[in-house]
Amino acid sequence: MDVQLEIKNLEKTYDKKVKVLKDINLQVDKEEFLVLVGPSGCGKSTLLRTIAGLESVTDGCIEIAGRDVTNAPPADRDIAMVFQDYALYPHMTVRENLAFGLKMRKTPKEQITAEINRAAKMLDIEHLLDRRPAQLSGGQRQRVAIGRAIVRRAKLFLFDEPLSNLDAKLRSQTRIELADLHQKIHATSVYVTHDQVEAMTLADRIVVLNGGDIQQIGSPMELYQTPGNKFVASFIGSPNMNFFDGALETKTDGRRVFSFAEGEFDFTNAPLPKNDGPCTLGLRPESIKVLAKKGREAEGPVDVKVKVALLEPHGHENHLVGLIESKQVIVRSANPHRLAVMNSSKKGDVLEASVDRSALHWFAADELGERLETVHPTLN
Amino acid sequence: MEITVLPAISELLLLLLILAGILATGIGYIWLNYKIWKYPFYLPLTLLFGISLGGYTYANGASQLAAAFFGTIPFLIGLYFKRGLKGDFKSSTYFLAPAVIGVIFLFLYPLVFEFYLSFRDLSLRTFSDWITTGHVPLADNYGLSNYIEVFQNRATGQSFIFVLWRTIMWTAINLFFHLSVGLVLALLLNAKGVKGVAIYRTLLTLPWVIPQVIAVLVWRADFNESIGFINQFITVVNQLFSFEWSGNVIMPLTWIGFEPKAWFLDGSALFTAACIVNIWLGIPFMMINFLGALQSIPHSVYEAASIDGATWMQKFRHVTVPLLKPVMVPASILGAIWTFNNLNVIFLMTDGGRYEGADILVTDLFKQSFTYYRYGFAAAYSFVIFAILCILTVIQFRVTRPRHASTT
Repeated sequence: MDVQLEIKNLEKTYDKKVKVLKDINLQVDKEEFLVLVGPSGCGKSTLLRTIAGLESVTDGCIEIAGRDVTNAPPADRDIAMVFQDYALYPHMTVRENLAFGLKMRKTPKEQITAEINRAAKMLDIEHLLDRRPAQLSGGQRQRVAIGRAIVRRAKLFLFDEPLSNLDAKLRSQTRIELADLHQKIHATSVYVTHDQVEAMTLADRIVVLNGGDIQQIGSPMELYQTPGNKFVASFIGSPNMNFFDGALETKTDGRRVFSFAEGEFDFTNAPLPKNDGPCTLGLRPESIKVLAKKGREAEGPVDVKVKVALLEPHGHENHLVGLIESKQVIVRSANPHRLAVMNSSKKGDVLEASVDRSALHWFAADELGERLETVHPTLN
Repeated sequence: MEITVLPAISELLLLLLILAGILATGIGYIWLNYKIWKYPFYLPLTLLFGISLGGYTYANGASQLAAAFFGTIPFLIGLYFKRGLKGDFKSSTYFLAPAVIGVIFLFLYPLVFEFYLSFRDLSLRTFSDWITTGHVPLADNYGLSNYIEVFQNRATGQSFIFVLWRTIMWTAINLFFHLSVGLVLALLLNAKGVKGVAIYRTLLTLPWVIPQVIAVLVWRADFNESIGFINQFITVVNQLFSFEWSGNVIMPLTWIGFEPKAWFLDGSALFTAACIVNIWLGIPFMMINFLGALQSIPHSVYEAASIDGATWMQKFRHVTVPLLKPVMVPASILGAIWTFNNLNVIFLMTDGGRYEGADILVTDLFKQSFTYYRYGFAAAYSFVIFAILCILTVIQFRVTRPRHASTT
């Protein structure tokens, strides 16, 4: 695969003091859909704007399609960008909005018309071409903004939180349209969002940023199943992962036990870090399984007793906020038998639950919380 | 010392008392009408009251016009209560009444009286007759001679057409510099990364904040022939930077056309000076207007334009100017009307009309009525100016009417 965008050792400092981006290294392949995700202030928008050339670079270099564009103006980078507030020209019709970029590049008239028709057809905005942005709904403006990128046939598409101005229903619909569009035109895209659902559903690869640092790069499932550190683990996945700060120890009888302030788990036959000592256990909400009275869902050791604090029914699944002594955990299940147990419980009831041994995440106890390698006891 | 102050205060208090009395009578009268308008014979009653009021004023020596005015007002108010106040609009029209009465007394009545005067020969010659008998003779040519005279050459040598031409020049020159300099300053203030914008903005707005009278008087001192800043500045710069070139002494400022002048005695120099002063005064308004409009343009639109490949000139032409237009058009039409009608700057620069050569229509009008006491003529003159401004206003409404956006 060709590399379409390459970022090497990129640094960005504001006012010679505030470091916004720290040594960013990134490669985006041709036709790839890369999503930059992170909490607000993590530098994801700044990174996108440096790629676009709207922000200068303090150090490092940016290459687009093999050409060094670190100091090139935005116009010379052959990119297209979709802004959060759409940034349509309010005094121009949709047609003129689409044509503007091509006109500035002195494209022949027939070609402009052809490109506009192609984009309009693709986005289903042909009937809107003679309207002004003020006469369009949010979703339509969004599509025009994307159309402005499509007509340019740019080497790189940049999206700066394009869905965050839409309401929830329209957002999920436009998300599907975006994914569909990407499958049609295969444009190399860099997409910024703070919404991890958007990141998971749209991305070929996700870059998780925090505090100007890349935390992890990987496919959505990689990030979900093997988060590289505690931050990624807590950021990806909804509801959040449950964390238990404690220590792993080997008892005199050979059992390996993870104990934390409110209790302990006996993990003798589970894949665990090699060494004992303080560490953090991460459990996804679905890895804590409420035990049913009978059937397959009743199998498994009773690891923990969860006191029901709040039940959030979502229809297809339940989120249960429970307490292990005083520690709050979130349990999720979509299994009908487990749902039945949850639904019949009341606040204050104590449910028995088992921990899925195959889905344990172990992190170092330090501030960074790097993922710890595990070994399966039977392989020893 | 304190004795000179006391009578003034007592006079003021008396005046305030009279004013309050008039106001109370007016409000009381309206209130009375509000109470009794539902009763039968209300309208004939107001008619009767009006006739007696008009007769009373006429008997006490008021003119026919004034008597007719006072005679009809109660009946009009009666009509207003009986026919004008209906249904849901009753209370709102009642609230409107004070404003309507204000407009009638302060605007409509003077306008009607002025129109009447424009056909009469009221001047210094007939003034005393008017005061003693209340009679003003009709002007010649069935009362039209005032209007004819407006377009004829005057004894002072000024012709209407020339003053009109100067007024148009005055408006055009001022407006051009107001708009262009205002726009440039607004663009500079709006530029990214300018430090201390608040300070610059305050300094640049100062001309607008200073009372015009004071500003013009200071400028007049600056234009003084012997001690004024302008002449001294030209002289000093000429002395400092003069040089010899092929046998001639070149003085840089004189060479490009600036010379120490008797600014108030030379007609065209006085006009130039007045233009400079008014330009200085008018720039901040346009600047603030444009700055507001510029700041309302989202930054991302410019970013989108730069990604689209527009240079800064293209951004200015295709983004800034079209988005400024909704502010620029009304501002320039308003500015045109204000400048066209600007009495104070020229009046003060010419020392109340003492210096000739810079008069525009309104100052000429002022001179005709209050310096030469040609009231009838001035009334006709002002109606001609009024007609010209009407045309300007119609153009304004035409241009600023919101275009119907095309919906398909």
